[in-house]
Amino acid sequence: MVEIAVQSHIIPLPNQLTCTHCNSKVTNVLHRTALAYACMHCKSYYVGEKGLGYKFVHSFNEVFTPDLPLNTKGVLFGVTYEIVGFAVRSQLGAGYAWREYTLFNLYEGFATLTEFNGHWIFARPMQNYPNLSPSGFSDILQYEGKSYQKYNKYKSTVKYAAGEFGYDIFSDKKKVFVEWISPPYMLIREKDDDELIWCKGVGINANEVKDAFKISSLPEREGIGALQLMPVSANVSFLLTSTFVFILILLVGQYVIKSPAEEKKIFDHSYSKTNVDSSGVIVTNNFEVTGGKTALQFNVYAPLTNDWFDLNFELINEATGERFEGAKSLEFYSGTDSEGAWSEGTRQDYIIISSVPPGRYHLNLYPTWNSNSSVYVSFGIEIIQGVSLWANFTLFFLLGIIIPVIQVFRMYAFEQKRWLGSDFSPKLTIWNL
Amino acid sequence: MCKVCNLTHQFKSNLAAAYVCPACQSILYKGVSYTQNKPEEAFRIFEDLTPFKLGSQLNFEEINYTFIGRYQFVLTNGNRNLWFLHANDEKVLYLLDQPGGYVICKKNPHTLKKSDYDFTLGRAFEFPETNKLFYLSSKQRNTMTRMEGEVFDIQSYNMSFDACDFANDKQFVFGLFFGRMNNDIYVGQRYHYSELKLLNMRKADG
Repeated sequence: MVEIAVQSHIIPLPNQLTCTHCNSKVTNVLHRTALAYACMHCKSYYVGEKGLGYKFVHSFNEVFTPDLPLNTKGVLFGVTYEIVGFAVRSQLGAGYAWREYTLFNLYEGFATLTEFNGHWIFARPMQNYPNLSPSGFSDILQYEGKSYQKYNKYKSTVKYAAGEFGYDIFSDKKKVFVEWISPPYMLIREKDDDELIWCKGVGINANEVKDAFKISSLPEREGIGALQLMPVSANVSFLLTSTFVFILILLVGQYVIKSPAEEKKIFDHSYSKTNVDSSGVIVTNNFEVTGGKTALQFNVYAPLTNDWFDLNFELINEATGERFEGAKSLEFYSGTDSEGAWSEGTRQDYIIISSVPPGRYHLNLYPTWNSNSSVYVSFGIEIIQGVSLWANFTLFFLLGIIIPVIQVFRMYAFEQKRWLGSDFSPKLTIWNL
Repeated sequence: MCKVCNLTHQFKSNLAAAYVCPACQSILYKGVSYTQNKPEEAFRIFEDLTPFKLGSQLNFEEINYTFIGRYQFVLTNGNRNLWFLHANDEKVLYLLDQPGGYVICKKNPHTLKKSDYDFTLGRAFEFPETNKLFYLSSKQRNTMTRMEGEVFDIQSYNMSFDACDFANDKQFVFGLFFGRMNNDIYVGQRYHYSELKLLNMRKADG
């Protein structure tokens, strides 16, 4: 039995408890708030008896060294906590174990800091019974505007403990723990026949733990933690909304830059072989390009029958001599075979030349006919001013969606890894990322 | 006056039934003379790191209350204090205190109906003069009661009983169940320590 300190008007400094097995001293920060303590030297575990003293109840088989030394103080979330207890727990029926540090502050009470594969979770009991929707037995809980997805359900066992605890840690083996996550937050329900406790946890970075407790090294992070946030993350609904807005702006921009009222035909003429001069050129009549810089669409037509036709041309500004070159090849073949009639190629096509300044222009046409053809067909050329440049739109569209698409796939892969450790993995789609 | 150590005490609260002598732990019932029999003794309070002490003051709803007595319950899953607070005009308040949890409460004049003695965790309960449902979140056994200062009940509180916590998102109920139809219900609200207007608190050593 261990002596009991008497209440005084001064909150006392830590006491010492003596391990009756090896006579080692255990620092007693909690005084009689400690309902259990464990000697880190001989692995003995003691539990309080009706507040009278402590009795030996268990001896651990293994020894684990805490990465955060007992009785180290550190500031987390603005509160100075002291590490009073350390336990290694494992999930009943599963091989893996995690480390749990019991933190204590005189006015804030107890908190736990849990480490698994280098991922850290800080958790505290909730002050009130949470107003959950549904009641707390569902796969998805709504709490304070967030949606929590069930992540784990288990019973645990204690492999090792050292320091002091505000409760008998072995009483936990009757408890069923259920965890719901909404990274970086977690809701934890601990329930046995006598107690139903709700805790709220938050994932914290190992560097925050290092800084808080002035520790130089901690276990390296492995895999994706249950509450880990993606390094460069974005809300999917934000991504989808912003992409939609971007496309809308592109469409509006496309419409504003080129309103249909500006689209007009400024040249339309047909030519034949006889119009070609001795140097192989057809010089057209001039025509006017009006307004500001504009895109011109050159529609070329030739009534081909199993034949081809090439047209190279120059658009020449008569005032400045500025030249724009273009070319279009047409070919059209048709016939019948055992499967019926067929055709390939086209008799008409177009080419767009963008950013043509206003002014008076003419065309130099350089047509080429099939020398093996029996007929030199005539051809037509039509110029439309102010056409929409869908190529630019498509380019910007693709550039605009490439980042959201990559981000969504990254998030999908990240979430898949997160849920590898869970028996309750939801069907992941981009809508529930 | 304490028969054992001759300490005198002037009762502050009319509701107090007894006073625990701080020197010898004798339980001195109000109006009882101990010339013949040796008074029974209360278990001495043990160190639980509470920030409160007898004589601490709480200003609640513009009224100054003084901490005049305490029950220290040794529950199966931890210890809890029930402080007895008294104001000059016989107003009374209770404060539940365990590490990191502070509930200011009042005693509900009603007792729980017999039909409500089904303590299944998570079950919803209604309490008179409250307008929300409460959910049973903990049922524990009080294995020992320690006392100091003025206390209002010795018989029921100084024995084993069931202690239950009922809570919702705003309020908290602490129920002490001494037997069928005999229970005390405290209804209150949780506060963060920084929200409490306190004076004359315990000071940390060093």
